[in-house]
Amino acid sequence: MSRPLAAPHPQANQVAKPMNNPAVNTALATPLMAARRSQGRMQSHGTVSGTGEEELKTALATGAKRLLFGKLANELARLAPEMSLHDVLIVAAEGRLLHGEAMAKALADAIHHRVYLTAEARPVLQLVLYELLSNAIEHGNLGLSSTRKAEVNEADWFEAYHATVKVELASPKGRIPILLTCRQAGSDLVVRIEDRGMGFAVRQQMLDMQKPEVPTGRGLALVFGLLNNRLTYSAGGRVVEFRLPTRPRQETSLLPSQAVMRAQAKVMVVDDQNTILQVVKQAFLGAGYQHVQVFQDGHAAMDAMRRQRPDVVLLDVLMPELDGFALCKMIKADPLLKDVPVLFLTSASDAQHRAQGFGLGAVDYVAKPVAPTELMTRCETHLMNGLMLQKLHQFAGRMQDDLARARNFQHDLLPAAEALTSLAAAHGLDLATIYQGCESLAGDYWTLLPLDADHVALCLVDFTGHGVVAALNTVQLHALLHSEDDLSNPVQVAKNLNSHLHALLGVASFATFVYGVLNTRTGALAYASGGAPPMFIRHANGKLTMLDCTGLPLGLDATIEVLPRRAALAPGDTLLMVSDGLTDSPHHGTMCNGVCDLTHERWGIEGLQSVLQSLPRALSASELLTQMLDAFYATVNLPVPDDLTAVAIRLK
Amino acid sequence: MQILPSTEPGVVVLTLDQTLASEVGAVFRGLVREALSRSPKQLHIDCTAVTYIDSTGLGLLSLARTEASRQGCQVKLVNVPAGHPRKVLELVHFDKLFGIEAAQ
Repeated sequence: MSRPLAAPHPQANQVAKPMNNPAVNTALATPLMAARRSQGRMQSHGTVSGTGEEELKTALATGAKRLLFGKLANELARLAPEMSLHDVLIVAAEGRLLHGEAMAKALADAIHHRVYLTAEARPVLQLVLYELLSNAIEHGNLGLSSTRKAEVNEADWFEAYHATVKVELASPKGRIPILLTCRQAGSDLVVRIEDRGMGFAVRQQMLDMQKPEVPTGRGLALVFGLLNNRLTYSAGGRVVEFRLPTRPRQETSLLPSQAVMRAQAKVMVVDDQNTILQVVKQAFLGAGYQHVQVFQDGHAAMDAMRRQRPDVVLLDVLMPELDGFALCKMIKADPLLKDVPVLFLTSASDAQHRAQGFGLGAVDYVAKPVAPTELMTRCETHLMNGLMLQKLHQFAGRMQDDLARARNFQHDLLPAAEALTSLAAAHGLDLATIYQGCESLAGDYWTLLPLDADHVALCLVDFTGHGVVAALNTVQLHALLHSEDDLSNPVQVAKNLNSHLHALLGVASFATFVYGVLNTRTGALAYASGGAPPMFIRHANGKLTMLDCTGLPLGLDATIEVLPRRAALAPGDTLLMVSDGLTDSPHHGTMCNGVCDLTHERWGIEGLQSVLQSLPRALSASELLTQMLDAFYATVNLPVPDDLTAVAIRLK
Repeated sequence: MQILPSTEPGVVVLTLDQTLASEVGAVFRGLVREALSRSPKQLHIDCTAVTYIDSTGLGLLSLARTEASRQGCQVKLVNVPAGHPRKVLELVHFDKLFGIEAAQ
């Protein structure tokens, strides 16, 4: 991680050349930066304190997400004395431990990926970030921890993750000395850096930059010159705001240009009159088409089409052997040709003929005598439509493939059947599970984890909505859950997950959850919950106990109160966890399986309770889920609009 | 779903339709935005007609609260009917986030 302190600043040269600003003296930056690094090291090492060599090592090895800078500093002085505090920053935007220019580059990259800075603007932003953050570190006891949080875009504040990058840097004291916010304004990116601590150390230098002559001796002067007077600041020196030019996203056109299309399109014309064929062929060739086939006989044309699929077909209606209508019918009956646009080219274009032709699947009529301009215009419209349809099919195919891969990936996050079998055998459990995503990708996540010889952790989480975003959230949750050091305390696990998810999820996203630890020897269950449907215990004696799973969902607030809850299972009892797909999906009719009243057209909790009470007493976990779902599917409106997860755990 | 005038000063009322779910999200967001542009001290979301709220609907309420709080406005859910809407709000403890006033 270290580098020579006197090394030239790599971005200085990169920035100076493209901007071609005579006021810039890039050579000045290097020794000053080195001097400031040295100064910063002395100041910072004297003011911060902390612990945790192992913590630092882990952070360095794995890419820390949360590590207070103050803690880091002492260890850094011991472990890597050649490095200064300038050289180590935890860049929240990337969740990685970075230093020096790498830190600035990571931030600039994170911004660039969203707003496509111009080639000139990108290194400028990088340099500005480096300078300002370095200055802030020099200034005093600046610490860094997490956090990147998606900021809502003012233009459409519901769509989080849209266009704004916000990076917060927090001190060991929990304050937020610097707030970096970027937003798009027209074609520019406006970068605003707000010091919420004690003010930038270089305030006076910034004020000096008002003068026409660019002062020397500070990195910010360099930046100022490069930005060509577009750097502004507040009177107190606590806010720096500047604009950088961006370029529009490169939109890939779905369709070829007209010239390319004409050169590539395969046109087939069928007419029994050779004169017409030659006129039409010449019209196409004259317009730049290169693949034009003409046929006087419908059968020969059909054979040719089957050998090579045309992009558009023009048919005469009245032909002696095989007329145009019959040929059109054959084309539309062929699975490989059915989407080829067919135009009728005929003098027989009265209303009855037109209706018959369109009824067979033709897309247009061109009246004889042929007007070349009209013919080209009509053909090209249908060629473009045909190409768009092809692209759409290709896109849909790719999407299906991608979704299938993502679905497999998501299923891989869930406990494997072998692992469950092994867990069940080791803990004397009878297990059964159901997991069905409603739109290929699900927002439900569940798992069972062995903790020790007597304990298993159980978890069921349901993210807001479903589909791709919800599925991505389940992946994050899986990673968070498996990075927890201690899974034995449900309340603490819930609080930790909430803290992470609050930082990661968008404003309107949250997750209902149940997390519990079951002592498989004694049947004692400790759990925490938030906004989830209740769990049920079906006792061996037929009694049904409903377990309260209310509470604030994960991710809504930075801190949530989580209540410790307890329940107990006896041998033969079955614990049932379900997601709200089971209770909230709309049903048809007023009765479900003759056992419960669907007052609100949904099972609701009461409906589920009725079903569970109505089922036979002695059921295995698998039989319980099967019979419960039989009742559910007997009346639910298909397709089921929500993800559906159910887990049954019976103590043997 | 519409914004109605209130007799109470500083209060804007947004009345909801039968369902608060993803399909009405865009309309809801637009109306909340419009309501907040009037700089009220309180935004009352009238749930009289609501019979169903799904998880996206809860997210929409949370979003309204977040946006309102940025400009110092409180959100209150009023006339929350018994049945599904009230149960759902209780399930997720939204009474800890909003003022909630049950229907008479």
